[in-house]
Amino acid sequence: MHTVRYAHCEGYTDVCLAENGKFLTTGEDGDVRIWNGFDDLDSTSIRVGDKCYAIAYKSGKIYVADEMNELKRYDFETNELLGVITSFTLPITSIAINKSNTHLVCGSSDFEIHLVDLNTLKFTSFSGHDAPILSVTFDPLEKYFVSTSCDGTAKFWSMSNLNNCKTLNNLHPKSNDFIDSKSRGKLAWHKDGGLIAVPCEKDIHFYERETWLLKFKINLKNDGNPSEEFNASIISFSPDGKYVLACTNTQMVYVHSIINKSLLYKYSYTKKSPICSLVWEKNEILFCDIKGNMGQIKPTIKDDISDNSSSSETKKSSKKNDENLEMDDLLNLLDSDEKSNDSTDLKKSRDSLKEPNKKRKRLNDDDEDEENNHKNVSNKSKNSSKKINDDDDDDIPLTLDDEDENDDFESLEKLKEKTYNSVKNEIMTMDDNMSENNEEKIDEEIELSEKKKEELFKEFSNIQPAFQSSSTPLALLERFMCWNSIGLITQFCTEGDESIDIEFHNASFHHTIHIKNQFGYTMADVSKEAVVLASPGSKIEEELEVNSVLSSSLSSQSKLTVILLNSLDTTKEWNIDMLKKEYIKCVCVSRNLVACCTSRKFLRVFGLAGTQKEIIVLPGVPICLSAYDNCIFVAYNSSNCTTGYSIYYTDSAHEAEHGILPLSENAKIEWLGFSDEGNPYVYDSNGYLHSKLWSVSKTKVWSPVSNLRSTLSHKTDNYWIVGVAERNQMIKAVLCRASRYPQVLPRPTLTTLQFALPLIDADSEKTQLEMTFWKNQHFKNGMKNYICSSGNLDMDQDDIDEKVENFENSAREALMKLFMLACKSNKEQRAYEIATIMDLDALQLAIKYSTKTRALVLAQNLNILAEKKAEIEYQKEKQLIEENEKRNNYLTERNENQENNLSTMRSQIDETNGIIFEKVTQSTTQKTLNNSTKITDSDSQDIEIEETTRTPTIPSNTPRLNPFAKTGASARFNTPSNDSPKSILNQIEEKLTKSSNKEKDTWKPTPTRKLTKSKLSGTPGNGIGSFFNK
Amino acid sequence: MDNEEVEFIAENELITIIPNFQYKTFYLIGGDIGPFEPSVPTQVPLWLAVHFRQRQKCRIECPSWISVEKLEEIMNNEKSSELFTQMPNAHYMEITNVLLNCAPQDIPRADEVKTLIKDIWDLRIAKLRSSMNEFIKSESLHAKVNNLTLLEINTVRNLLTKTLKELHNLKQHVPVTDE
Repeated sequence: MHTVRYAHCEGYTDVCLAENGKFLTTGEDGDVRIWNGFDDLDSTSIRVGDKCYAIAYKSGKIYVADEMNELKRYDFETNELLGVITSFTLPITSIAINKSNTHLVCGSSDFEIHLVDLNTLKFTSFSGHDAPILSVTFDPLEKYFVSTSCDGTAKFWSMSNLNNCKTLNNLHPKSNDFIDSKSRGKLAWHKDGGLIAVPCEKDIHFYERETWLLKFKINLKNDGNPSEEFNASIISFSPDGKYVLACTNTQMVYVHSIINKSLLYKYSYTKKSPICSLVWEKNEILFCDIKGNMGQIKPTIKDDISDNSSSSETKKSSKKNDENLEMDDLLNLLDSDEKSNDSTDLKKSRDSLKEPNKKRKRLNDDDEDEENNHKNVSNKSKNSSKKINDDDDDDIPLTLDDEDENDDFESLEKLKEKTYNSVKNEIMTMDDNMSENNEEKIDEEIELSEKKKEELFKEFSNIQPAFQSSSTPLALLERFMCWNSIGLITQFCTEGDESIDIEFHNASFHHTIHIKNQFGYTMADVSKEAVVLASPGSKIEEELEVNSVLSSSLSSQSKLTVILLNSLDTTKEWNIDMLKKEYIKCVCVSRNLVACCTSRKFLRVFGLAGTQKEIIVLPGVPICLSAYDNCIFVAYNSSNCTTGYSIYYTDSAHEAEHGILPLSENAKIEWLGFSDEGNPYVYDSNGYLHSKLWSVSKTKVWSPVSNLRSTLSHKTDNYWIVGVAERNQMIKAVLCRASRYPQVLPRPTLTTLQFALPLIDADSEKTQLEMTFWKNQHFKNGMKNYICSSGNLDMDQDDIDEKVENFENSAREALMKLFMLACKSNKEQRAYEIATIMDLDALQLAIKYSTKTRALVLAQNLNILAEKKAEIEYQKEKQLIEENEKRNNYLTERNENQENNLSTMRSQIDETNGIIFEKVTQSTTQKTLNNSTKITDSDSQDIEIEETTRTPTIPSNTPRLNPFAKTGASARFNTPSNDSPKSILNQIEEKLTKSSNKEKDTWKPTPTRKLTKSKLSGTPGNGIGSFFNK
Repeated sequence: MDNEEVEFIAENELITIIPNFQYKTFYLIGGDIGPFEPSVPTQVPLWLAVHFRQRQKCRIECPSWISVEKLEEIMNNEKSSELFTQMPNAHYMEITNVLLNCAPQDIPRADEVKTLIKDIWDLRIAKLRSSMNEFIKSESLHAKVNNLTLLEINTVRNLLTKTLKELHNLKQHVPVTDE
């Protein structure tokens, strides 16, 4: 009972229903056709564009997506263009309009979803999918909408608070393009809104509204060819809501009753082209295939809506079908239905939501229930093995990962073999599907199972899943696993050739490493010392391990592998398997340590060579992790819906820091990590880069460094941060046009971005000077931290000193200019304020300047300020000297002791050297060993030298000068740059001397003048200058 | 002045490279170069880029105009226009030549780029020849040609100037018969 006819030229074709039995189709020829019926020979065509991708109809308006990536509205009667509703950067793939015709939602190949208010045409953009959107569907009750994507996920979005309330994973194989997708991902919402049918591999899964829990599922099977691979592609409910239709990518159409889940009708489309769109109206099903054909099926369901006569095959359902069922009844029915199939210890009721939660909680915590379940099932199958086949039991063993389940499994297997050979296969595949689906949920629920329903949903909506900084989505066939300042790691997932390339930016540092990805690594990080790779581990493989012959080679557990780049011995690599059911979520590596966050909220720290060190329990579900030297910086979802962070110092030099990450509103973390100098930075999805570098009253605080989004010209462009380098004053990022991630090929090039503190009124001269000052202060601080934190530097000490000095000078210069600007515009209070930030040298120049411009009150005030500052500094130094003396005394004592110790140690080492020497003179390895001992020897010497030299140099490091002596100031400013304050001042001085010479005679020696004069030309031993000569 | 000299001049053009080594800024008479950070794009003169590329010390970032699409557009403009059109770079021929010789891997679709550049060059030289022909035939005293690049001028300079000189000589020696 079907016919096929030509509708459009070859290509993706969409169909939708209009009113009065009319329907609309559109295809790659760019026309919209209005059909009066399937047999209409004279359809009306509207020319829209060169290609059309999706169509929707609502109350006299046609909505069409064209090749310009625009969504256009046409009038149904007059066929006139009414305007463009919204536009994307890539083709729109699906359109849906809500019942009350107020909102439209559409998804595009550019991963974005727009929710458009049809009255105002304002839209809200939703992003969250990592691949082109396949379909969007509205909730009939208009509270939610749902989207599916080529990344194999479906996301439920709330229209009220615009949040993602639930994500379903692994619904179908991932694909890169919406045309190539194995599944069209078209799910259906029951007309009452209570039940959502989702195509999931070979099943239809039914989810319950609000709880988003899996209620039951219907397995689709192809009796003719049970091993055939196929995917459910399109789901649709019948107009009266009693039946569910599923269409697969192998052109099969199934109609099941949702009451008793029995198969009522099956249809195989004879043409070899997959069906890409479908509508069910009254008693006919209209569909279009990928070749532009349009078909019509009139399903001969025995208890058809048109004739209510019950037939013998569907006795069970027909009685109930006669009544017009309400949803509650329906669900009650379902529950009772399930109950009859389920094991007896699981008593479900629709009203109490705790039950399914509990059930799954138990399922996760240990698998005893599973076993019981399993046994029950197997027992039951003994009794009524036929029933399994009939009813497609949805609670047949979910996971088979406990060893002692083997027996059960075997018994079950035997039974199955006896009864139905095909059943086994089906159940196996079902298990796979099931566990794949559940994997994500299970992970989340380890943390959440205890919580109440409301909290649970709150959590779900705000939780950010774990990710690696500077990595691209897993769904891609070629992806970056990591890109940082050391190197980049690329993963290739082309079929049959799964590999990982580790490349180093500095070619002289290490050669490129190419490895086969046999353990399914998905996370990676690289530092100067090591490369870390981690596989997430999976339940499916765990099952396989039990079931199949392959078991030994496949690892079920999460695996951590570290490749050392500079190893003392020949072993360059070590592996470690996580505990069972503990899965790695993110990893990081620094010069000194390897760390990983797991699904148990553990932060496990390892030494580079594989020593297990600290295990830290995180306060929340981990999101992202980064390490630098001995610091670990981790972000997590904390309990009160905020994103927390912790910085741990494993060398116990500092205290651990905890707090809430400073993300802007509704933003997620896009990148998190340390700068090359070891300062923590975080970049959020609103484009703000924050750093934790500034101290306010001795504690470090977060402050914004740059708003990168403000520099982007187009809304859809994004920066993909790779790193921050304070020493070079730059943010390293990749500019992604119209996407959030860069592609692997062609190799993207870095863009270096300048720091731009979000100061107000950025164009004015004052703000620019302020910006220069703060930026340079920032870099200076960054470098100082770097010097403090790192033992073995990758830069010369001289270079660092030079850089710091440059930053200092630039900052001082900016400050001086600011001061002069304030003086020029007669804002003495502001000038004074600026002077308070200055150090003594700059302050001295400021006093000079103010006296020369004859701002005498200011000069006087500055003098007082300078006195205060000088005194404070003097006190500080006095303390320092005292402390140093104490330390020196202590150190000399200690050194003496140490020297004694060292001499004994040395003699010991010499002895052992001698022994080693004797022992290994013949062997070739002798050299290395001898070297290594030598190293330890020289190390200890170094330490000794350092300690003795360091202490006395502290005062000399900050050469103290009389701030009021002319020589002091000029001696400091020996910078090569022309713009240094000194030269500016000289210029000013020159100018001023000319003018002041004229008026000099008229000046009366005021007290202030006296004071300043005496200070400026102050001989040592006079006034406050005498402080310094004590 | 010969073509090598023109190329030498062209090698002073700045080009972006992505170094795979670290080095401090170095100070040359022509200006400061660097600092070099691995994977961070830096601008250097073409001669230095070639030098680094030959030692596998960097990857050359292709200038944006060296792409098949852009060059096709330029060629179409050149074809449709009577006059010479502005080239994306005053040394387009030399730069692409140098890059194609030393780093064809760094240029996407290098073969097509090569033929396109050659086509544009031929087109322009043909145009130049025909206009020269016209100029000499019309016996005009001067003509103005815009948007010629140094290398293009250099290819015709020797011939044109000498020819004009010879013509001038001839004209002076041939008695005017008509009047």
